Formats: sequence, C-alpha cells, structure tokens
Amino acid sequence: MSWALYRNVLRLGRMGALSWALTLMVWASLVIWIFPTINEAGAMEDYVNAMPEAVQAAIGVSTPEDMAMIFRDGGFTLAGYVNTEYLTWLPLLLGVYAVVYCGGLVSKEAERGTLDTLLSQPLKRSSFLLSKFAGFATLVIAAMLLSFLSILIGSSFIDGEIDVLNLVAIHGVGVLLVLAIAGYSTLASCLFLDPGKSLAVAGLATALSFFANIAGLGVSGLGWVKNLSLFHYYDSLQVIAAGNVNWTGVVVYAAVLAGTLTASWAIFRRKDLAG
Amino acid sequence: MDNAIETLGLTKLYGQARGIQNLDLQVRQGEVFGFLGPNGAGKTTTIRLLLNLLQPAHGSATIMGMDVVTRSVEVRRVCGVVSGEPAFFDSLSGRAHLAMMQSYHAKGGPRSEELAERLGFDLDRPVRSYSHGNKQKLAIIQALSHQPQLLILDEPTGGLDPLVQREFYKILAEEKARGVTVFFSSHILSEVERICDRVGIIREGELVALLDVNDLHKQQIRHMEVTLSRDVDVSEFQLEGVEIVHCEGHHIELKVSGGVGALLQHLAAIPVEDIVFPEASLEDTFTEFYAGRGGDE
Repeated sequence: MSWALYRNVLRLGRMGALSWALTLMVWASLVIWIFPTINEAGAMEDYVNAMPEAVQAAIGVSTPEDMAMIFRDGGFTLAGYVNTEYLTWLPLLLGVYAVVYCGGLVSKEAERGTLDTLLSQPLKRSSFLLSKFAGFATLVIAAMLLSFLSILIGSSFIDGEIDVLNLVAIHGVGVLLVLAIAGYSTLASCLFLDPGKSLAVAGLATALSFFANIAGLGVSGLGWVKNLSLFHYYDSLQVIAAGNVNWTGVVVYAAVLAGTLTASWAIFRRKDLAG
Repeated sequence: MDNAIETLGLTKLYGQARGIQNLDLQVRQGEVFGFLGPNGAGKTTTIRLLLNLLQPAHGSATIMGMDVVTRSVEVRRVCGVVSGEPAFFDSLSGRAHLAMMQSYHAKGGPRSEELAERLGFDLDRPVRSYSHGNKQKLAIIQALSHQPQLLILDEPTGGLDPLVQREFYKILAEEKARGVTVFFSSHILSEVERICDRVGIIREGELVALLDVNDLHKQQIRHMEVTLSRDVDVSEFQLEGVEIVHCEGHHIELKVSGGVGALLQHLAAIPVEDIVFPEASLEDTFTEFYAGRGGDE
C-alpha cells in the first residue's frame, strides 16, 4: 500500500466525490421533504398497483408482502417511500461513479502516461492497484455516510419513522454492492488499457446486471435471470422496512469484490505497458 | 569490474513486428553509455524491458546484479529514469509532484532545489502550466533528486534550449564523477559523441555495433556541399576520406568520413563562396555500419 498514492487519490478525487455526495444529499433531502405532501395526496397504493410488473420490480415492489411493507393505512410508510424513491436507485447511481472511476483506474493512468511515471518508481504494481482502489473505496464510503446522515437528519423533521440500524445496514450493503461493481470495473481497466474499451465493458456489465434483475422480477419465464444480477441481492426494502439483511448477497458481493480484485492483480502484474 | 546493466539474449516480439531480438549488452559501472538508433529501432523497448514495464519473450537482464523481473522494485530503487515522453499529475505543482515521487525513495528532496535553480525551473507552478521544455526539466529533476546509482535517460534533452542542454551535460559529468552509471538513449549523434564513453548502435531490434565514441567519430559519414566562385576542379578534392558525390559547375557535393581537418585546410586555400556542412546523419552512419558488416541496405 502506498500512502502517498492513496492520499493523492483522495486529493485528486475529492471534487468528483463531493459532486456525487452533494447530489445524493440533495436528492435524499428532496425525497424526505416531499414525503408529507405525497402522502396527503392519497391514492398512491392504487397508483403503484396499476404499474406494469416490470416497473414495480424496478422500484422494489415485486410481491404483496412488499406492498404491505411500503403502504400502511392507505399511505406510504416513510421507510417504504424512501426505499421506492431513493434507496432502490442509490447503488445504481453510485455504481455509475464506480464504473467511471474504476473503469479507468489503470487505463486512464496508462493513457495519460502517469502509469509509466509511477511504475518507474520503486512501487509494486499490487501497491498501485490497492492504493488506487482503497482511495476510491474511501470516497464511496464518505458519499454513503453523507447519504445516511441526510436521511437520518431529514427524517427527524417529519412525521415518520426509519429504524437507524436498518438505515446503517442498507447503506453498508449498498457500499458492498458499489465496491463489487468497482471490482469488475477495475478488472476491465486492467484487461483493456484503453479507457474507451474498459469503460464500455464495465458500463455494459452494470447495465446488463441492472436490467437482468428487472427482467427476472417482472417478465414471466425469465425468473432465473435475476440470480445473475448483483442488484438482485441488494433487496433494500427488506432491509430498511424489516431489518432482514440478505446475507447471501453480502457473501456474493464480498466474493465478487475479492475475486475481481485478485483477478485484476493477476492480470496487471504481468501486463505489458506499451507506453 | 561489475556491470551496471547486463542483458543476455533479451528478446521482445510484437506479433509479426520485431521489438528487440537476442540483445546481449554489458554496460560497465561508472560509464556513460550511449544507446543509439533511429526511431523504431528498439531503444525504448529495451528501456521498458529494463524497467519491467514490458515482459521479455526470451532472455534476461540484470541491473546492479539484480534480475529486472524478479527484483524489479529493488532495481527501480537504484535507478533514476527520464522517459521519452514524461507525464505528470497536471493538477499538482512541480514541487508536490516531486514530493510524491520522492516518497517512494529513502533518499531525496534537498537536491531538487539545487537542480531547479541550475535548470532555471519554477517548482511552484502547476504542472499543467509548464511548457514541453519545463516538463523535461521536471523529469530530469525527478530522476536525479534521489541520488540514483544508475540513470536511464530516454532522449532527455528534447525540448531543452541550448543553454539548459549545456547545464544538463555538466550535471551528467558531475554524476559520472560521483560514480553514477548513465544509460543514454538518443538518436542525435553529436549529443552521444559529446558525453558518452561507449556507444551501442541498435537497428531494427538488433545491436549492430558496440564501440568507443572515438571509433564512432571515425566511422561517421557527413555530407558537404561546397560552392566556389569558379568552376570546380575535381582533382582538387582527391583527398583521403573524401568521396565526390556530384559535381557541376561551381558546385560540388562530397561525402566525408573521419576527420575533416585536412579538407578544411584545403578549402581555406581555394575561393569558396559557401559551405553547407550539416551534422552527421544517423541513417548515413548506420548505412556505413551495415554495409561494413556485409549487410544489405
């Protein structure tokens, strides 16, 4: 681990991370702010029931049990509403950040020539990878922390309850999902030293994963497809509304993260850097 | 004497295209070794193999007795590198960039100020504001500031003005006096002649010659165009080391090898209007080597 490189990652990435974090904070705060107005409008349960199954699946409503967790006494529960409008989409948004950052983790440095500059110093390739990834992970955790605080503080001003531990848990699972996306994006960056290719591959993998989950939940006959999607194991409604963490998902995310980072190192350590 | 750099059958292939092939090279400790070749000859490939940025297909290389693949981090600890196209972190200042690079070495730092002053370089501006020449200066400072045992320089004077180039050569001479080995890659003959002890010439991935710099000078071919104020008498140019290429009216073109003293003395005695005498062309020198070794052109 190179602490100098790690600090440089944080220094160079702070504005990008701040932009993402501010976006999350504004979005979360807006969602919380309009919750009372949405609930007063009424008929939201009928509205959601009328949606196509695929759309219901996209917002985290797949079963009658899900509906029971989202709606109570004719209106949204705060946890259900925050899940539908925010938590369901949170890892996708930060997943885009992971694709853009980690899809170019190695390839953008190679394109700029700074990879040569760094690896002409007594710096192991494994230290380079670890320091860069650790820097990104720190930025993601910081963004998730701000998201958590936005919901926690925002919900204290309105009539509604969100269990704090459940909120911690879903953000923790969200971090793992985003880091799993970052893991395979890093792998793409090591495989293709061309940022155009690595970002395209990482982006495509993420899009396919997301839509596989929707297709598997909403399209009959394609139920098996959802098991191939990382987003399937996120299950934010179960966590935020009932505190049921999908531990299989946690293991899957940890395995994908460990596997892709190991593969990244195995490929990068012998990769020709043509310059 | 131990060798600072030693390669044995070092080979790198790029599919059908040749990178370098069966390179056997020894660079003695403390010498300034010039690695000469045209663009695409394999100079940069060789350097990248030594730094473990590329993996060899066959063969091996050591620096200070350490294998460049299995002990690559230790190798790079003793090296200072100026790459052919230096790159930096644009948002950092020169000083901050150097601090980050120097954090990987146990030594370094104080020399940066001295070198920056000698090269006329402002450390406190952001890298993105530096011209090409200033970036080259930053690369030189980066390579030297941790007091390496071996300098690997890939065309280090590109973009430097003549005054700075002169200062750079002085710095290299001081490094040599300290016992530092210099591996100097270039396509500029005059530069290599000026500062190197020995020269290796690479062409199309193969080492075609290894010789002292004095022998290189003797082997050089230079073209000269002379314009007289009267018609040329070709018998006047039947001198050793001089070959007549073309003669017409007042104008004569010559190929000159070795020393030019006798020719210049002769020219001083005849009515010369103009002389065009460019630096030796690398390609012409290679042609001479290649033809001399029985190769085809």
